[in-house]
Order: sequence, then structure tokens, then C-alpha cells
Amino acid sequence: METTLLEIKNLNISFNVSKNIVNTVDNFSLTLKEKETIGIVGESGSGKTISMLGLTRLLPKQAFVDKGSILFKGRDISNISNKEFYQKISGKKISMIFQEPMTALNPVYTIGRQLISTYLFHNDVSRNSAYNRAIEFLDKVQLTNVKERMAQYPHQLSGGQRQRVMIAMALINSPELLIADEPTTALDVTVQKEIVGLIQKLIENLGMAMIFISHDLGLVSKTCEDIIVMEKGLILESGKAKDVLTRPKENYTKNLLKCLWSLDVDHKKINEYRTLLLDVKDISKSYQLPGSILKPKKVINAVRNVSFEIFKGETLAIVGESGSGKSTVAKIINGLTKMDSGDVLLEGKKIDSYSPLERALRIQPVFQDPYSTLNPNHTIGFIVRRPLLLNTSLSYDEIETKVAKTLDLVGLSKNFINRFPSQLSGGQRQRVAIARAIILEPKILICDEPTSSLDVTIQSQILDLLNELKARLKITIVLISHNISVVKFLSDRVLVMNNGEILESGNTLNIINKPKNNYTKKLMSAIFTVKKKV
Amino acid sequence: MILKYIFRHTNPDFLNRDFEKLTPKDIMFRKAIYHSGFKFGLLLLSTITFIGVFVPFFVDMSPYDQDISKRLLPPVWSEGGSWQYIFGTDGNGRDYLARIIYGTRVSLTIGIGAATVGMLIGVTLGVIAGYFGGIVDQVVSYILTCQLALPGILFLLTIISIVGSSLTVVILVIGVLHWTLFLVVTRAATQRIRNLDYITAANAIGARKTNIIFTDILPNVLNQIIVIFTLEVGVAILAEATISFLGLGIQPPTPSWGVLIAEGKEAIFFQPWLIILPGIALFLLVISINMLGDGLRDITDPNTNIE
Repeated sequence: METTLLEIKNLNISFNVSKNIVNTVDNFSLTLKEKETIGIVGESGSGKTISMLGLTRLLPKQAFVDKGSILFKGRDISNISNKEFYQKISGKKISMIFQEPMTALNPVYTIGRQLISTYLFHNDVSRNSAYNRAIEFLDKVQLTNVKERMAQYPHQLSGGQRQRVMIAMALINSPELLIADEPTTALDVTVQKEIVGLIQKLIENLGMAMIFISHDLGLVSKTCEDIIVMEKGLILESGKAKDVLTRPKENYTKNLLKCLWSLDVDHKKINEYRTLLLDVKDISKSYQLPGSILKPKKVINAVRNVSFEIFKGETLAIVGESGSGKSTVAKIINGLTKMDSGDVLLEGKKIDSYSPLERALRIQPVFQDPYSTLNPNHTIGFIVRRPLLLNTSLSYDEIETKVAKTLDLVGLSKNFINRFPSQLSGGQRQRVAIARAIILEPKILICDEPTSSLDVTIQSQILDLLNELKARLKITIVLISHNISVVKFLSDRVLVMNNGEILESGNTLNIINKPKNNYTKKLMSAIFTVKKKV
Repeated sequence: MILKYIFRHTNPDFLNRDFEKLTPKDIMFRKAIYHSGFKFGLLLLSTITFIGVFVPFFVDMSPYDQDISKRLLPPVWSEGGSWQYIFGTDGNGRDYLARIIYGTRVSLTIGIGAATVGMLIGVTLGVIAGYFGGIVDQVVSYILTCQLALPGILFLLTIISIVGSSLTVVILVIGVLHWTLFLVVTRAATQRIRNLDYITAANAIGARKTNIIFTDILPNVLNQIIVIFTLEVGVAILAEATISFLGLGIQPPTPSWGVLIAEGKEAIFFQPWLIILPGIALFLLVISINMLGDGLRDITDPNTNIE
């Protein structure tokens, strides 16, 4: 008989926001048996992380647990003193892995020291045996050169390696429950897959239970047996992963699933595009890192001899992980970064020979981060109006009509004109950024990861918008992305980049279904998709 | 209170909690009304300015008239004081209240003037260095290092002994000595902003460099500049007091608070009010400016809460 490890009953967590009490988590309940895995899925602000922080007593200052009981191995731990909790439960029985491997480790201490002190805090053993245990666990998380790693500082490791260290640190006290809060979100896709596999294997070997928090339904369905879907602080539905995926009860879950499916639909027929719009010939770009007396100057080849063509009306996707040079290519063809060698021909003319204003009328970018893409000091009206003020000599009325029309086109009402970016949500900001880019009616729109900072449901709305614009404005889109599902949904052709080189290119479906290159195969196998059951 | 009253009559809707209908101006007013530090600083500073600028026009008083028979009279609240000389008299028998009030003008002019000079130098260099980077940045950083290595008082002594002391010279010299903070802050802020997407977007829509600097960069460093400005106004007023104390700044008999403190130092043990009163005035002026600055930063920053 499996015994119940953790039972949370009617947990309520509230925030104290300028004298108002705001209920963020409402009646959260969960039962977890030993060696079981539960996934909590929800978008940002759904309360999935906050409810777990309430369990581990790591809530931010303004938040507090209103009511509810937490039974851990049959014992109510919601009322025990902080001292007892930190000594006996937190870190020892329950440990946590956080999302951001860059900030979760202390940058001034070595990996070894942090691991050892974590172990010594809860175990009365000699330093030597703690050292051996740390080495054992670094080995378990499949790091190489373990002994040297012990003496290294966090900045000497890559993101994936850091996350491995975090996992080792969470597991070193052999907890009975592991809480993984978006452990792979900040990592590259191929690394993501390895880390998830590693966590699963360790959980199984060490016989632990796990609560896995993620916004990625596909990922959770692969990792966990049970799923809890949360929205706005409420549990919408819970149950076996299979049941939730195949027979979702709530509309919200259906929506989430639809986002996965809609990216999975068969692609429309590829049209034949004939007119050459942009011709990229053999471009290269390298950056020089400043050296010092001890270190020679380091040259990074961000882009190496890249050539491709873009035809009128098509959507071309450039796929690759971070550091593959795809964003640099985007900046070069946008004329915003100078290339070292090669040529970019826009409608037969060199891109550098256009004046900034001429170029602006032909090619426009949309960026990834909705929070830095808009100047916080300007109103939405000014941001959208500015390209017209700079580039055209329209009258005031004509400009205002055009702004209203463009805002309408991206699905924003006229009321937004007087608002500041800080009053807008991420999705709305991204719509404003798109409005700014299309108001000049450019021929090419370069979208650099347009959706990767957004929630899943918002993502699909923005993708739908881009698709609609493509059809209505006959605009050519260059899509930069690491997300294969997005690429599949939007693009006709794909270029796969790695280390500044194009590895493979061709029709989207061919690349996704029959990748030739090894790297492409790895990239494609790393996506967690949910097949639609009919 | 007054602000709230005025605003209610110009725009009755502003107290609505429906933030979405508010225009940017409404939001700023709303923030101003609910910011107690800003209101306190504004009230104190306007009171001080009012007294310094307008009171001499209405009240018959002179900071220069000497009456040797009435030397070193104590202020009205101590023993032997009279209502004729509320703050007493100084060593030459001059009305101390009149001297402090007239001194306000000098201190305010120097504070704001010198901080403006410093701001013009520092912000210009800072934005240029931060935006263009590379060799420009290195040159500016070199100038900064030189400035920081310069012994301020010595520099001041040299200039004043060559040019002679006057209000303009004091303002310019203090301004030229106090721009480093402006430079450091604007340079760092500009470097951060330069790499943000909205600058790239501005480039992509064809905006020129000057346009980007004035519409994208300056408004975003404005908050920091305001804070530094108010800080530097305080520092400049104190610097004037210091150099006047040393006898290099404003020359007696022109009353500046620094001159007053310098003159009062001989009588510190027996007539302490000669130092304490201008000291309190200095303190109130500097603190009101600093609070006003903090308030302005919060109000003009669109990212702070509306409440």
C-alpha cells in the first residue's frame, strides 16, 4: 500500500496590496502519495508557484497563508514554528529547484562549498564525508570532471550545468519530496530534454515524490502521472494526465490543449513564390571580446558565410538555439548591424545604400521582450504614430485615422492611445509593437521570437494575429524562433542554424518530418507534443 | 489639500478610480496629490522662496543698516530680546532676520544656478559617452578621471584669485566642480537603455541619432537627473556656504548663509544663534529640495503605481 506523503487541504494565500487583501490562491488542495509525481500547469499569475511557496514557507513578504492545513506524512506542518520547520522539513524532507539557474546559486562561493554547506546544515557529519557525498551527487547529475567542478564558481558553468548543480543541491539531503518550479524554462530546447530526463531518472532511482510546476502542458504530460490545471488561483481540474489530456472538462484546459494542437495541424499547401525580395549573399559577422593581459582577445564568429533568399509573400523561419546567430542574421538583414563581409540585396539594391527612412518603409522588426520593446515614457498613441511623423508628411487627421486603423488591425481599441506601456499586459504590448512595425506598410516583417516571452494562450493569439496580417497585408515574414511548434504553425520554409552556420534548409514539413542533419534531428526530437486524439 | 481643491475644480473626474480613462496628465496630478513627501517639499520650498523673494518688498527691513549701539542683541525668545529684532542682531548691529531673508536669495540663486551648470556639462557628456561608446566613451571617462583627481578647493582658490569673486564666478566655479555625479549616472543609464529593443525599433523606423537621444534616451534618464539635480542643488548651497565661510565666496557685506555662519563663528560660545539660525535655514532649504526631488522622480516615472 502506498502511503500518503503530502496532503494540502483548502490552502488560501492572500497578498496585502496597498491595504487591500487580494486572494491569490483559493482553496488549493492536493494529495500526493509516496513516489508519485504531480504536475501543476497554469500561466503566469495562476498561483501555481505561490501555492508551492506557501508550502515551503518562502512566500514574499506581502503574502501570507490565510487558512488551510498542510499534512506532511500525516503530521500537520502548517502550525509548527519556523525554527522547527527550517531544521526538520525544509531542505531536508522537502526541497525545491528554481527556474533561474543564473540567480539561484551564490556567485561568490564555489559549487563545492555550496553543496557541502547544504549537506552539513542538516547532517552532523565530518567535512570529509560531506565532500564525498557532494562528489557522489555531482556524479549522479551526470556532470563530468566532478572533482574540478567542486572548485569552480557558478559563472564558469553553462546554464544546463548550473541547473544540474541545483538539482544535486536539492537532492543531496535525500528529501522525500522534490518541488521543481519550471526547472527547464530558462534553458535551450535540447538541454531542456536532457534535464527533464535526468530529473525523471533520479526521482525514480531515489524513490522520491515530485511536484512539477510548468506552463508547458506538453512537458508536464510527459513527466507526471497526475495533472492539476490552475487558473487565477483556482484549481480548474485535476486527475490522471491521460484523462485530462484526452477528456478535458474545463474550457480553459481545452484552450490550453488547442494551443498545442493548433500548432500541430497539417500545413497548408506550399505556394510557389516567384519574386525574389531579399537576397542574402555569403554574409559573415564576428564580434571581438576585449582581452586582457592574461587573456588573448577572443573572436566570436556569430555568423559564418550565410546565404539564403526570401521570396515575396512567403514566411521564412530561422530556427536555432540561443547563440546560434539567428538574431544577428535578423539584425543584419534589417540593416541595423553592419556585416563584416557579404551582401544583402533588398529588391536588387544593397541594404546599406538605402537611407534609414527608405529602409524603414520596406523592412520592420518585432522583438521578443514585450517589456523592453516599448519606451515606457511614451503613450501608445505616440509610439504607433512616431514612424508616420518621421517618414511621411501626412496631416494630423490622416495620421490619427491611420493610427486608429492600425490599432484596430492588431486588435486594440482606440482607448489605448493615451495609455502608457506599464498599463498594458505582455500580449497587448506585443500587439502595439506589431502595430508600430506595420503602420508604414513594410514589405518584410522580421519577427525575432515574437511569442517566446508570452503565456501559452496569449502566444496563440499573437500567432493568429500574425497569420491574419500575413493574409490581409500580403506581408513577407521572417520568423526567428527556437520553438518548432511556432515555426510549424506560421512558416513555409525553414532554415536551421547552429554556431553561425546554416545546417539545413527547405520546406517546413520536410524539415520537421524528415530531418537529415543530426543536429536538426536532435532539435526536432526535443519537442514535447501532444498528439490529438480523435 | 490645495492641489486637491484646485484640481477638483478644473477636472472633477480625476478622483474616479477608473484609471483607464485618465490621460497621462491626470495620472501625474493624481500621483502628486497622493505623494506626501512631494507635497511637503513643495510647500516648504515655496514658503522659503516666497519669503526670500517677496517679503523684502513688503516689509521695511535692511540687511546693511548698522547700529553699533545695538550690537549682538539676542533673539526675541531669549532673555533681553525684543520684537524689534526678532532674530536679534549681529556683531555690527545689523538686523539678523533681514540678513537671513536676503541670504535666501543668494543661496537659492547659487544652488539652482550651479546645479544647472553642472547638469548641462554632466548630462551632455554622459549621454554622448553612453550612447556612442567606444573611443568617445574612453575620452569622456578620461576627462572624468581628471576631474575626480582635481583638488576642488585648490582649483577654486586659483580661479577666484585670478578672476576675482562675484556671484557669477561662484556659480560657474561650483557648477564646473559638481558635474561628475550627473555624468556617472546618465552614462550608466544611457548604456543600459541603448541596448533595449525600443532603441533598435527607433533605428528601424528611421529615426536619427539626435531624435533618439531626445525622444528615447533623455526622457528615460530624466528621473535620475531630477534626483541628482536636487541633490546637487543642496550640495551647491552647502559648497557656497563652505567657500563663503573660507572667505572666498560671496564677499561681505552681501548676506549669504555661508557668510553669516562665517561671521558668527567668533561668537559661537556666547551668541550661538548667529550660527544656529542660518544653519536651520540651510537645513530646511536643502531638505525641502531633496524631498521635492524624490517626489518628482516618483511622479514622472510612469512605472510607479498610480496610487
